Amino acid sequence: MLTVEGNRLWLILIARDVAVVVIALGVAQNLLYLVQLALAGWALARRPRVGRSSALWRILGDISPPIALLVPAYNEEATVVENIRSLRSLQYPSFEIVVINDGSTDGTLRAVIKAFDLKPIVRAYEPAVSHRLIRGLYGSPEYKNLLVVDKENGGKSDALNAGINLSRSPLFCAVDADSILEADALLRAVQPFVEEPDRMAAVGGTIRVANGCRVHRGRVTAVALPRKLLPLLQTVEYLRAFLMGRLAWSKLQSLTIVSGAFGIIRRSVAVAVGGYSRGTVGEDLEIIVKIHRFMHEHGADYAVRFVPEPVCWTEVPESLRVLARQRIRWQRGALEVFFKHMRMLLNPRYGRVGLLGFSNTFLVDVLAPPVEVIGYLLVPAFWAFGLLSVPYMLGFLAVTFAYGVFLSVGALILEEMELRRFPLARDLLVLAVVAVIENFGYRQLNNFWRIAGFWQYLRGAQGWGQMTRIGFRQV
Amino acid sequence: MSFLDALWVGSLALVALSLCIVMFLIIHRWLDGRIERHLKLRRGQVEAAIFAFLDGKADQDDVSKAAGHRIELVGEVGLDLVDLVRGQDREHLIALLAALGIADVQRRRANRGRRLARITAVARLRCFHDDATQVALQCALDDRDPDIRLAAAESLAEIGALPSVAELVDKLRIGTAQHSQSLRHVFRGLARRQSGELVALLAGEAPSLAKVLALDALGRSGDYGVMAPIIAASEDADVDLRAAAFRALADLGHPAALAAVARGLADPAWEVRTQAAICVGRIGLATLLPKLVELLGDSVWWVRFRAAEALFALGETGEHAVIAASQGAPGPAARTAHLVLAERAA
Repeated sequence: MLTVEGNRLWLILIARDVAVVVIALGVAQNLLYLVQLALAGWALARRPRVGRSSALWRILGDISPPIALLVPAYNEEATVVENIRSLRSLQYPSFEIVVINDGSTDGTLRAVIKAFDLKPIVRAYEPAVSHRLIRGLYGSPEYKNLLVVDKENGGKSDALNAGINLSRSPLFCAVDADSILEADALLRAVQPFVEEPDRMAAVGGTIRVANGCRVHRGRVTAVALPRKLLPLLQTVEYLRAFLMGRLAWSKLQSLTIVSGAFGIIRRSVAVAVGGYSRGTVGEDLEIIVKIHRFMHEHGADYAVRFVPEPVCWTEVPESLRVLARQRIRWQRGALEVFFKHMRMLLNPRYGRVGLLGFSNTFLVDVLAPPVEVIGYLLVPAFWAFGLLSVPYMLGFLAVTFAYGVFLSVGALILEEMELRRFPLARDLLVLAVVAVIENFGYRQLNNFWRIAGFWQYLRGAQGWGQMTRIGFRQV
Repeated sequence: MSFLDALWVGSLALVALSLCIVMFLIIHRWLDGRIERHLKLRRGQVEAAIFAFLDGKADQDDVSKAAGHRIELVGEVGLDLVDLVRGQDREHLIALLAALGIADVQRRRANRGRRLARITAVARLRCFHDDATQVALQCALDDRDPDIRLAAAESLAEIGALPSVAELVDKLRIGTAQHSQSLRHVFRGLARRQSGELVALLAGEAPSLAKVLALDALGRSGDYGVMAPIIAASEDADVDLRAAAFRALADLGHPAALAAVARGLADPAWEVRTQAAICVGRIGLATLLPKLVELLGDSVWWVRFRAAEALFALGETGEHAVIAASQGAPGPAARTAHLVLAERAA
């Protein structure tokens, strides 16, 4: 009898301690979000000094540095030609497009060669970073700023490395072949490089959900919310992640990621860190962390920024299966990067990035998913042992959900007051409702995927998995 | 109140706050949408009235009436159009805006209000050349915000009323608080009227960035009288300055730079050797051909590549030199020459 009572006492003590850890972690994460929201609001109010595209062109037209757009393409036969045409019509004084066919097994290369009447060419280049064998280069006198690289399959990082080698511009912009840049996106994104030319190492822009938008000739002609629930949920997530998270981390000079779908990096810096690490699934996160690490280790004065206004539209998954693959991959990528550069964590040598940015990665990507799942598992266990106070559980749950909704609404305020891309007042209501809905199922599902990513990471899984594209809604 | 009660009250408060915010945003957007629709209509009318004015078919009052006597609206539409029209029409439009008091509005806005609105107003003042505007811009040059100071300098450069170079460097805190490449516009504006001061800046103790900007501006001035100070800068200890000097010499394109360029081709810094090689091609300094051929074997790829490009720029002799290099002993020079030839041939 005494033993049973003793065990129960131990169980209560353990339960209490675990509950305290779970709650403390939740509170820390939520406080962090609140700080992010405040910082993002402040940063938006003090965003760069130029507004309209015409004014940007007047100011930046003859002083903006040339940019190489690196477009890795793997089995993009259906969309690649239209995307190149869309990129060719960007408003920027000097840019070249380097399309890297990463060993596609469909007709990607054939489609591009035919559409632009390309011929084999030779280009002198410095093999500054490593990549798989280049099988051929294609160009045309008619499209002087277009270069197509045909190489053996090596993954996105490998393709980008080939692009870095072949580009001759001081800056390069990694663009996904299925993304759409707004016409003035480069002009807006290059501003930090013009304002602080010696310090700026990388700049990221906002990624927006294009599902539901109307697209004509590679341009988003009418912005609209997605019609399906899953992309709608991701719309709210993207708003939070970009307008709140990245803006705040950028303000704190601790931004650890520039999206692979649209980000500008100084070529010399990318070369100095050895380019993209091959064989990683979080290449966009990894190269920025490498840049931070390299710059701190060499005592360089530098900056990595996020600017909210250059917008890149991307198609997000509409099926749970594809979304699950994407999220599992993201989690795996985050863990790969975290453990590869773990020595940066809380290491004062790496300044704010080590103390804040990497701590955030640790908290959000490493600790939070298992702890949240432990929380979910403990609830029925505690209940079974009679240790659960249902009223308290409901109380905490209510606070968590209400706080999540409040944060999403906070991101909506930032969007509405400063950027205002959604055309209808009704859209705001829809997004607010979605911010409530996401707490019931979607959030838990995301956690499940993160745990799956954890598991895959521990098992040492490789590869990207297939990303099924449904194509933009055309006029 | 117990802790449990506090949890529930806190949750309800957060939900209520969120709901209020969403309602506010929706009502705000709805009202804004109505105002925007009305303004769009008005803007169209003002635009039409302004074009009629420029065609001599309407007068100042007609434009004002089209805006419902809202001067700010005329200012918004008119100042957007200023960037789109040229010549006499531009002058007439600016005169119309000044007569309607738009310059006064912009001067007031430049002084107070939200930071972004102030910056926009300061930038828009570049259209007006009157004394009051110049005074307002000079004041803005002393503002605490570096972006407002920069916008003021850009506007002053456009209307040709910049202060002395030394004062400008000091007020903009160039090289300390201000590093923007937009300063190139300002310095190029200075080179038209105050090239002597830029030359003096090169000789003085100014920050390196200010000197680099001065070199860029002098290079673009087309004034061969500034060759000597630029050549002197090409011997400076600062790598950035030496590279900027060769960029300026390439822009000027005068063969008197020969000796300096020859020295630059042997500079220890690869950035300087690259710029010197570009210089050879741009100026057409054929006597430096052998030195360019040597650079085809440089340890840095960019130097080799620019040297090859410069050789091609020298014409047939240069091309022959590249062909000869490609057939020479295996090594970086032959490889670079071979690749560049193949690229040209394709």
